[in-house]
Amino acid sequence: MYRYNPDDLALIRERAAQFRAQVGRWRSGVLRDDEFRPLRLQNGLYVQRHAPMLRVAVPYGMISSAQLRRLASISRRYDRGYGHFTTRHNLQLNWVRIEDVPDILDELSEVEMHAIQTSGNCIRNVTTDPLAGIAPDEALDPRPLAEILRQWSTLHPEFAFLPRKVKIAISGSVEDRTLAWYHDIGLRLDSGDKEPPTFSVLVGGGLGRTPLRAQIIRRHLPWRHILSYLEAIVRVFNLHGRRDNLYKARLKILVQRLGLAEFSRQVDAEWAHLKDGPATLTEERYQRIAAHFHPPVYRTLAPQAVQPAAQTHPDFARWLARSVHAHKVPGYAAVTLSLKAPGQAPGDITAAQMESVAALADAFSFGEARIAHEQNLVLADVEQGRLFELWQAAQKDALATPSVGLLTDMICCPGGDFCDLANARSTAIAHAIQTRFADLDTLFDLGEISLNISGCVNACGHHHVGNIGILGVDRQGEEFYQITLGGRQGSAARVGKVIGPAVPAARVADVVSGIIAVYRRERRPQESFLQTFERIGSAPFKPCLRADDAKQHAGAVA
Amino acid sequence: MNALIRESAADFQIVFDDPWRIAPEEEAARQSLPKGAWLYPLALWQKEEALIRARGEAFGLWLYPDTPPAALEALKARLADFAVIALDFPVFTDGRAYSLARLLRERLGYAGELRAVGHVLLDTLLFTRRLGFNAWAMSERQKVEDALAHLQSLRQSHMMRHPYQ
Repeated sequence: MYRYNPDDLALIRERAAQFRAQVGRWRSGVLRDDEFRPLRLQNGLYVQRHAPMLRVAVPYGMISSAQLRRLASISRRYDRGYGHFTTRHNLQLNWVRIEDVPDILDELSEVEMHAIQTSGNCIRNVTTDPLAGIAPDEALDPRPLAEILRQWSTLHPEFAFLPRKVKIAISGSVEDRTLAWYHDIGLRLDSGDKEPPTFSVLVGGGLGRTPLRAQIIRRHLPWRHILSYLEAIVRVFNLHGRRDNLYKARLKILVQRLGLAEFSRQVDAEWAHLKDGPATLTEERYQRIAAHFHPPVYRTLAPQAVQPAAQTHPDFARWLARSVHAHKVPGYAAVTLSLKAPGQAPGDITAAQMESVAALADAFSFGEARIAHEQNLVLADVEQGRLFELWQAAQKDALATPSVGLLTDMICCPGGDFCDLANARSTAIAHAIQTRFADLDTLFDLGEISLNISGCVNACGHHHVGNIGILGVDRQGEEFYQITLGGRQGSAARVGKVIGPAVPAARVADVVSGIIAVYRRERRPQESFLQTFERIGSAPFKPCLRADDAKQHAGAVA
Repeated sequence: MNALIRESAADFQIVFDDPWRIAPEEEAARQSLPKGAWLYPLALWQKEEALIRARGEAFGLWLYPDTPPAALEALKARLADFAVIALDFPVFTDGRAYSLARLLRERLGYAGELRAVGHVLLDTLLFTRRLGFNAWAMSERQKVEDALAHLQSLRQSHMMRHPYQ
C-alpha cells in the first residue's frame, strides 16, 4: 500500500498542529462556535448526541496491521474500546473528548493516518473496490489513481469550501463494487483492454433525501485527464451550486436543475481551459505512485478447487461459501472478515477485534487489510491452502460469521443511539432482525439478500439500494420505519420502491418476516429474492405492512 | 476597519493606513464622491467605467462572490488597469471567490493586488495564499499580528504543496 514520504508525513503533522491551535482558539473564545464548526468538521470532528465523534479516514480502504493496532490502542485510551466502520472507508470513534482530539490526530499521524476531509463541504475520502488489485474481473488496479486523487483533493485550495460535500468513487473492474452510480462523481474504467486506459465519468449521483442515480457525463476519458476533468466539474459546482439551502446544495441537485446537457456544456467550457494544463497526469508520476501498489511476492501455488476440511467441517464449508472470493493469482483467495456477528452492531469493531485482524493480516495476508463499504473487512491475499487455519483463527474474535451477502450481513448506520441527525435507532432494528434470522439453515436457504437500514433520510445505511431497505422516520415523536424493496448496488445499481406506509418500530422485524414468507411462497427454484421481486412486483408484498399480517409473523423464527 | 496585510517582495507587511474603500452604490453619494482610492463593485464599474476613468485617479474592483466568471472574462484586456481587485467573503465558508481568484490569476493573467476582504480568518490564509491572494483585510476580531506570523510560517509549510505535485 502507499507509504508516506517525508513531505506527506510533514503535511499531516502540520495539519494536526493546526487543528490543535484551532481548538485552543475556540476554547479561548477567539473562534466563535459557528467559525470553529466548519473547521472541526474538515478534520472529521462532529459534536454528537452524547459525545463528540471523530471520523478517521482509511483512504480507499487500505489499512495496515500497524494502523489497526494503533486504532485499537487509540480506541482504548481515548474512547470506549471500540469503533465503527462506515460505508465510506472511515472509522468512527464515538466517545472522544474534544480536548483529546489533537493528541489523537498526533497519534494517527505516527502511523500515516488522519481525519482530513472526512466531513465538511469539501472533497471527501475517495473510495474504491475492496478487491482492488486482485479481483479476476479487474482490468486496472484503481488504487494508484485513488491515491493520486487523495493527494489532489487533500487541502485543494480552490475546493476547500464547496456548497456541499463531494464524494468520489473509482472502480477498475467489470462489476462495480464501489456504488459509483450513487456518488457525486464516479469513475468507472471502460471495458475492453484499452491502452491507455479510459474512464467513464458518472456525475450527480447520491442517496440521502433526494436519491438520484448518476448520469454518464463523459465516456472514454483518458486517465491522464482525470484531474483536469474533475477540476472542471468541481469548479462548475463551486461557482453555481446552491448555497442558500442545505438540502438543495449537492452536486446532484445542480445537475438535475441544469440538466445533463447544460451541465456538461459548462464543464466542457471549463475543461477547454484546463485540459493538457498542469493537472495532466504524467506517466512518471503514475508509475511513482503505482510502485506502492505492486503485487506482493506471491508464492507459486497450484489452485485448490476443493478444501478437504470442508467435508468434515460443515461450518467451515458454509464460511467458505460466503466469505471467500476469487483471486486473480492461482492458489490465492480474498476473505471477508465479517463484522456482523449476532449481537454486534453492524460495522462495530472492538479494540480486541482490531488487534485480531492485525494479527490475521500479518499471518495470512502480507500485513494488510481493506475496508469494504458493506462494513466488513477483507484480507485480500490469503493462500487457499491456509483457509482452514484462517477460519479457525478468525472465529476466536467473532470475525468468521458466515453470513456475508446474506440477510443478516446488513449495512446499518449508527442511528439514534449516537447520531444527532437520526430519527430512529437503526441498530436496535438491526439487532431485532439478526435475532429473528439467527438460523443459518434459513439464511442459506434464502440466499443472497441485501438489507440496509438508515436511521434518517440522510441514508448513511444506503437503504435505497438494499434489496430490502428500511428507513427510520419520525411520526409525531415516534419511531416509524418506511420499507423499500428492489434496490440494488453493483453495475446495475438502482433505488428500491417504497411499498407502503411506514410501520412502528416494534413491527419492523415482523414485516421483514412477512416479506421473507412471501418470497419463499412465490419463488421458483434457484430464484433469488431480487429475481422474484422483479417477476412479481411489489403488490404481493404490500399486505406485509398491515398490522394483522405482521401479527401472523410476530415473534416468528423464520 | 482592521489593518491590512500585504505581501511585498520578500515578506508580508502590516499596512495600518490602507486607503482603499468600497465605493457607495447609491447614486447620490457617488455624485459627490471625494478624491480617494475607491473599489468599485463590478455592476457599478460596468455602468460608469468612463466616468470613473475620467476621475483621473487609481481605481480598484470589488467582486461579490456571485460574480459570473464570464463577466471577468469580458474584462480581460482591461484587468491590468485595476490597482486592486478585492474579493468579498460575506462568510468564510463561501468558497466561490476561491474559484474566481484562480480564474483571475491563471486564466486571465491578472498580476496586481488580489485582496481578500470580509470574513477573513487565520484559518483561510493557507488556501487564499495558495490561490494567489497577496493582500488580506482581516476580519475585525482577528489580531493582525497573529495573521502576519501565520502567513510567515506558511512559507515553510508542507500544506502549501501543490495539488498536482
